[in-house]
Amino acid sequence: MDIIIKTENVTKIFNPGMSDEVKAITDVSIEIKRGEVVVLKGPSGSGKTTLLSLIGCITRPTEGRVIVNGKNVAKLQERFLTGIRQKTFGFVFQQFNLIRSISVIENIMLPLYPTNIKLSAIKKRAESIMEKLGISNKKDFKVQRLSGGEQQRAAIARSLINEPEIILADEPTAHLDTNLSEEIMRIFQRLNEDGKTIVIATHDPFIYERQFIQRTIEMRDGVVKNILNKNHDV
Amino acid sequence: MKYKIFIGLILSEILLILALYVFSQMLIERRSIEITAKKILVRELMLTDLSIWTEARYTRHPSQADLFTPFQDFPSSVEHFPAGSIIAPPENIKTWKSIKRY
Amino acid sequence: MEKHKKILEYTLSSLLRRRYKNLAIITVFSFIVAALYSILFLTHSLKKEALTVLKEAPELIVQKVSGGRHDLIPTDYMKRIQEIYGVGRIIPRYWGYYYDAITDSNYTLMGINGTHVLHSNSKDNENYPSPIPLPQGEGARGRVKDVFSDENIKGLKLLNGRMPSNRKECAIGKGVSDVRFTGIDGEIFLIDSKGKVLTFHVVGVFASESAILTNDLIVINKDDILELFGMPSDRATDIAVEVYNELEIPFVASKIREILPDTRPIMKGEIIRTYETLFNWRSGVIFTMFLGALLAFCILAWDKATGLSAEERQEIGILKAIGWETGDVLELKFWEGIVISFTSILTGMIIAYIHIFFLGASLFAPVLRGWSVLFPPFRLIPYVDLYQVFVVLFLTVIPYVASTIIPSWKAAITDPDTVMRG
Ligand SMILES: Nc1ncnc2c1ncn2[C@@H]1O[C@H](COP(=O)(O)OP(=O)(O)OP(=O)(O)O)[C@@H](O)[C@H]1O
Ligand SMILES: [Mg+2]
Repeated sequence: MDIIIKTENVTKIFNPGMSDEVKAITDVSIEIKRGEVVVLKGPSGSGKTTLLSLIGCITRPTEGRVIVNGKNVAKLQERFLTGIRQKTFGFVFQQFNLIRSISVIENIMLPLYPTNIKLSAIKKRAESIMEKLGISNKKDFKVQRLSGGEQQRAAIARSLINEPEIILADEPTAHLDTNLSEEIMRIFQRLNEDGKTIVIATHDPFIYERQFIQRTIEMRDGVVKNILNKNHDV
Repeated sequence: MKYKIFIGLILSEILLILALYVFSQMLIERRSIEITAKKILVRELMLTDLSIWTEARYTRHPSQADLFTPFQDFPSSVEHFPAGSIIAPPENIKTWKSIKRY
Repeated sequence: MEKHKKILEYTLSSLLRRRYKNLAIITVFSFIVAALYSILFLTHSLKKEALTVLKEAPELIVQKVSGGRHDLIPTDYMKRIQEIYGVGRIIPRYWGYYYDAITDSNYTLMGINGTHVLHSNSKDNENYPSPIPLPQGEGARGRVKDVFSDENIKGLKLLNGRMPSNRKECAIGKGVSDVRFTGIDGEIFLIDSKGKVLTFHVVGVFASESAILTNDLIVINKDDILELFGMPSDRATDIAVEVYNELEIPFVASKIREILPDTRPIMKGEIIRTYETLFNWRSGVIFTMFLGALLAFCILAWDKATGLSAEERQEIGILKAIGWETGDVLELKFWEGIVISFTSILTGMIIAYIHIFFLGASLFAPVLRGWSVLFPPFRLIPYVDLYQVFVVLFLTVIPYVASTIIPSWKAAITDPDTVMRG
């Protein structure tokens, strides 16, 4: 299996040189293979979100290299990164980052607006995803009128609309009950069976005990503590 | 489809403006006779000015005003009439010297 | 194409989110544009009309100047002017102002010789055309003949009734007729320079279409005006001089100055230039009046241009994180500017047109009017200068669109992570 994502000695320092300088992650080197499901776990503040953002080209490392599909994105200019984000990644943010005051369905359709796909086609696609995630009845609601769990599902739906190769999900079950979490994991599993690579950051044991998860990367204080390769252990 | 509504709105506004423009041209055509009439009035009565501001000599007949209006009493006296402030000083004050050059 | 449609679609959703704020901006913007276009339409229409009509004004008006003031001119001067080469008919003008204490208004009184002939639609018309040869007329170019030989003016309505031909008759402007509550066959009394009341029989009222020229006129017989103003019979108010060749006007003017050093010739070109500058839209109370509004709007645009709200920054960050390109975000902002500015400008333009050409500039009239008691209603001919229309269009759309795009520029080219966190 080829390697789709690779980080080499990646360090991310926020606000370097300032009094509020934070070294979020230090010297992280990991590899993720195509079609793999990987879980990032670790306590709060250990750097999971930061690592996901680096992989997803949403922010750039202070040092080291991030290689996506064989291309080092660490030093790429912003205008080249946008294209990679659009074609490669579906991102589920920890804070959802839905756009307030517009409808749920519009939020979900949004990633495909700057493409040449017809609005009606995007709408159909969004509706079918919402159906699967059980939020179709909230289609025309304004985002802020949804419950936390519904917002989470809307965020997941949005990450799937562009049919990305890699899904980066940051705490995707944090606001969901067991049943819904189960449902989401089943969706991820199905996506994985379709060949998608999935990286999930979580501290929910419910997730990393799933059978289809191949590897767990454990982080602590910004460094990789332990990599657990399930396939070999079982 | 909000964009369709928006484009429709803008297009209808543009259409209305075009219609107003065409209407203007028609009206100019239709009222050209009025202009002819006014030309005759000007010629026959030997008029020199428009009868818009009737409050003072230099506003009623700006083109015929004395060289020292609108400051008739004192060259830097304060303007008396609001209409004066939208009337620039008559051009002939500035050009009148040039007559002598011939 | 599909892509631009969808970005526009999102722009509209995005604008609708802050609908009250954006509606307020559109309203204020439309109002300012309407004011600006109103000023332009009004002044352009008036200017165009004035310039067209005043082309028929006398080629030269000779005033006598005494002590820097306009003085009555001796009619002998006419003979001297007659000697100049290229000069046609020379006609003395008798006119002056009359303050009417009853109505608090100023009239312009004009005396005619009985040589002026105006077409009218009354039966008197048949009796009236008895053109008296003008004293210095060269015959062939006689004004009177021109009027009657011109086929085009048949059916023209300049005057209801007729012009005064006998003494104690008068023709009055619509404004005078309204303010004095009188009309044809009515009477108007004026007080002469000795305090005596003179009564005039109204034989004609100028058509309201011509109010812009005739509103405050009272046209009476030349001898009546001499009596009324107590003018010596060898004096006139000023002298109109016909010059055959337009190009020779300045030459004739300087010649007159030479022969008659105490006069001041006013050339037709100067009259026209006076009206050109007079309606110069840049100068004006109305414009100043709206300067405040304009300034407020500039502050708003400046505020937009200098910073994005946290919410807007976050929106840009999210859009970029979910795969929008920098160009797409800028396009979104471009549409935002276009939607607001186009809607406002087109609306403002329509409002201005209606205001000026259908409602007769009713909102500006009180300001324009000043202290004038007699003020003609504006029945403006919709002359529109497309150049001006487009200049305003570009001068408002471009800065506005720029002020929406530029501040987003920086946010759109930085890491979404940084932008999202504010
Ligand atoms: N933009 C930023 N500016 C400054 N510091 C940051 C920024 N982003 C993250 N950090 C810091 O980096 C460290 C790692 O943060 P990160 O969000 O990656 O943790 P996490 O593992 O996702 O935690 P959690 O489980 O609570 O989501 C934290 O100490 C945080 O304060
Ligand atoms: Mg996190």
